[in-house]
Amino acid sequence: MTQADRNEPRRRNASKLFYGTEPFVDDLPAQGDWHGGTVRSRIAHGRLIRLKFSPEFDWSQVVVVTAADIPGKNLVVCHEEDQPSLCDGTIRHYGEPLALIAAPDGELLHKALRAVEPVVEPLPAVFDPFESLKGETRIFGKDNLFLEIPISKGHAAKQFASCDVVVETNHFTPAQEHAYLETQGMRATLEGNGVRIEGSMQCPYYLVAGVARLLGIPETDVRVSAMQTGGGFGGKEDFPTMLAGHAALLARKCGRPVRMIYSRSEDMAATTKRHPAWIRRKTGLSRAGQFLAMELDVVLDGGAYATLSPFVLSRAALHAVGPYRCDHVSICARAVATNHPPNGGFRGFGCPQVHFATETHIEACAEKLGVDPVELRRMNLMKPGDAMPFGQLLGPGTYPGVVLDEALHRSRFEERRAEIEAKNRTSERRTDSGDFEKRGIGLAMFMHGTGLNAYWEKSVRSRVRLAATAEGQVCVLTAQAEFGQGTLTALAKIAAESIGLADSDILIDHPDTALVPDSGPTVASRTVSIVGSLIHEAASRLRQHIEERAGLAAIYDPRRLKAAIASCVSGGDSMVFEAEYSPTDDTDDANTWAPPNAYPAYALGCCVAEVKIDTLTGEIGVVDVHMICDAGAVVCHRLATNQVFGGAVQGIGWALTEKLAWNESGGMRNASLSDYAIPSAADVPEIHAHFLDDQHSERYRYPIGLGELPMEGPGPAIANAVAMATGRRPRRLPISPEWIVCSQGPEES
Amino acid sequence: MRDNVTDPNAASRRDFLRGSSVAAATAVLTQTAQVGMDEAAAEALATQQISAQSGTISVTLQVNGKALKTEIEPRSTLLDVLRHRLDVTGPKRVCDRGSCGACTVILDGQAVYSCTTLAISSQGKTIRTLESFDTGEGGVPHAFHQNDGLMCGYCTPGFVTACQALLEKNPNPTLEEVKKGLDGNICRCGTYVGVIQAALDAAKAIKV
Ligand code: FES
Ligand code: FES
Repeated sequence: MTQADRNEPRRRNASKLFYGTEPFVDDLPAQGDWHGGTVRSRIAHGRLIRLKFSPEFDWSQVVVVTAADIPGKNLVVCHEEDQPSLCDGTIRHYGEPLALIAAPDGELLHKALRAVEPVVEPLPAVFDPFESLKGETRIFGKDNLFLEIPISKGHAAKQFASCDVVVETNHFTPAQEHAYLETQGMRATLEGNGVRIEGSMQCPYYLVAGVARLLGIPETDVRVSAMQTGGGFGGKEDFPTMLAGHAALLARKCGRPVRMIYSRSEDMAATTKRHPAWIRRKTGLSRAGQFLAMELDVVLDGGAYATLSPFVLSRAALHAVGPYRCDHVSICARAVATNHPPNGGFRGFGCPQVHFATETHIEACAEKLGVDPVELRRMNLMKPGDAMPFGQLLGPGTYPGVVLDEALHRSRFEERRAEIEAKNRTSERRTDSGDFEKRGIGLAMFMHGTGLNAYWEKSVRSRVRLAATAEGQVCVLTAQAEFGQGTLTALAKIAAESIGLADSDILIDHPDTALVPDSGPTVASRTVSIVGSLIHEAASRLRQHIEERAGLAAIYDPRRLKAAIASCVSGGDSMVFEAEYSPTDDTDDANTWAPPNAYPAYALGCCVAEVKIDTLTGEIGVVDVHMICDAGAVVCHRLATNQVFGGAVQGIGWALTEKLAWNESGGMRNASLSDYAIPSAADVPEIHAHFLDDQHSERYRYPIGLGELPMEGPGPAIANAVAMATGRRPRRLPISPEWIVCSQGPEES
Repeated sequence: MRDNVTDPNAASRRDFLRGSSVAAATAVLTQTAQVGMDEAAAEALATQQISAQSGTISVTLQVNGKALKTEIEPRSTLLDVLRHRLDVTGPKRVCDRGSCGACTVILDGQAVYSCTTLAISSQGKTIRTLESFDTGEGGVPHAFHQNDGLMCGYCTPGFVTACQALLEKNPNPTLEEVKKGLDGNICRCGTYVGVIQAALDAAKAIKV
């Protein structure tokens, strides 16, 4: 850490968290709250005939809510209107909410939950998306297809004939549990004509819309306060909308505040996961190694309801080719309904899946051609001005090749590779088990378009507001939630620098929709990039106002500026400045899922991972990871570095230890933190984070968004390192010790 | 000791949300931890006494230097009692099965998972949670702060407590000993690098 990093502002809410005084939702004092719980289905598919309430339980002590009690629309909507808040007669997945109960205390709630038995008529269930596409079991629409996104450029099919070499591979990436340490939790209180929601979430305004729809009340009667949130990673993007609705329904019914806090096992069994993906990749190359034609099939298991699947699919399709150039490309991306619980957003949002396929496929291509995989990449990497398959040109200053070179240099990749090769050949180092240790080093490129795709970013119409106080300080009002990324610190820093005030004169807190405008969801690495740019814009309005009132000199000295702001406020100026997102280019309104100018900018990355493998036990250890990130300007190096560490650790877990097992009803079988292994300190190697941000090009003037990027590299880099160590290419994650020791392991699936 | 918390942003952030119930809730929480129990907790307790009817027993726990008396079911875990009966909410419930460390407290000098410790068997022992730690520059929380030993903060009370217990037993831990001492805690945000450095720095600071 450099001295400059040490001088950056401290994380805003940190000290309270260290001393245990910043409350999470379940830390709020009891306040007479009732406890809410959910009756869930134990089958994957069927009809709910009725709920049987045990006569042995005294039901007058509790309240029960079923679909019949919903005053508004029984829907939870991300895009499709397919998901009921409470079962409407058809059960489509294990863990589906059938009814809600609130009781004065947790003990009684559990007794009540155990005293309800759903009477059901099971129907055949389907858990495999390819089976599902046959349409024998109907889950969604006519064909169980949530969405298909075709992208085509040139004439791939024809072009293959003239290629010297054609390589085809299949890849699978698994579901992943978010395992945010704070489970989903929400509190609802009746307030005026409406309801107040407090809790753990990423997107406060999603809850406003969702609760209003469910209760049939105006959005102005729903007030949502995001609290400090104990991790999100995408898992608190859409799901909290459902939970807030449930808490609100119960609060209405019992006339008291209701708190719903999921247990770990309920959270794991009932909430979303990363989409499992099946990817087929076919590439035609010239003898020299140029990519001439590509064909890609991407299939995502969306689970029983569409939720965020169309959005995840869109990002997967738009990033499917990675940072490579190819003139003839045909992509078919499909999100398919199955009877698994719905899958949703998870850091990377479709990118980790497609990058895994691309970066392991390229190594197979290199092997077939007999060329160095690094050289094959370099030859085909895009440059500014090159077109992506959906038409967007790579923006100025965006050089994947520079990122690659930096990674090779910092990790001493080629030297290390040669050393490892030599050692593996002689391989005399003994491990504890007495067998030989093999090492491998692998590399992967990745990229991430910032923000929602152009169509959706435009439709959100994000607004931010700056409001000055009588003391000359400035409040930053946005809807962005804090769940570990450092939102409050980073946005405050952007405001301080753009306005020209000291960091301590910027006021910011967890968003409360009674106070903040809708600046869109806290997702898609859009906080510092999109919302940050709006703060910058509003700040320049503020500065302009001060310049007009107090002259140019006032805006260049923080103390004079503060005094000038204060005097404007006391002089009666409104001193509220807003900015609204307005895309500069004319976005194609018809193209929802693959708009030609999909993202305003792309963050780039390269990961180098070194692994060691015990060839007797199959144990895989990651020894060393280099993460090179090019995400435009870095707002706070300390926060950004932590994001890279955290993303890398999640990537390592996804690659090696996080194996989800399903029960016979398609629910998560290993729904506990003792059975689902997320990385601990012992699994974490040395991680070197490096940012390309100190150059003088336009690209580094503004942040591009970093939150998701670092999750996307370790999976394929580790797989490539394992391939070097074992001589066999993993085509599916997680890579297990069993696969390592089975000499005839399932290389292809 | 809460009053001594030195957060440069604290005043401004609270002013900004003055009157909001989040601020009010924080105030109540702080006060509650100081005196042991407030009206809301007492009311909740009363409700639970009625609902439980029989099968509860009276226990006195020594928490952060105060003797706190409450009625519990014999099978209640220490975590349950701390969080729900005594409003000591520093220790967090994450896995509830002894596999994450977020609920760590110091029991007679030993770091334990409060989710797998019975409250009744904790009677007569000294129970310490992070609410009682040194908040000054020589304290463990400060070292975590300096080293960015957190992101979302949910694992943080557990790590800080485990680190405190480790340093009380071994004021000069090596890197390996730190890793081992914090091995029972997990962080999904992946803050391990900062956490380990914080532990090493705290060891140095305590000696000064
Ligand atoms: S909550 Fe006690 S160890 Fe996880
Ligand atoms: S900081 Fe979020 S779990 Fe550790």
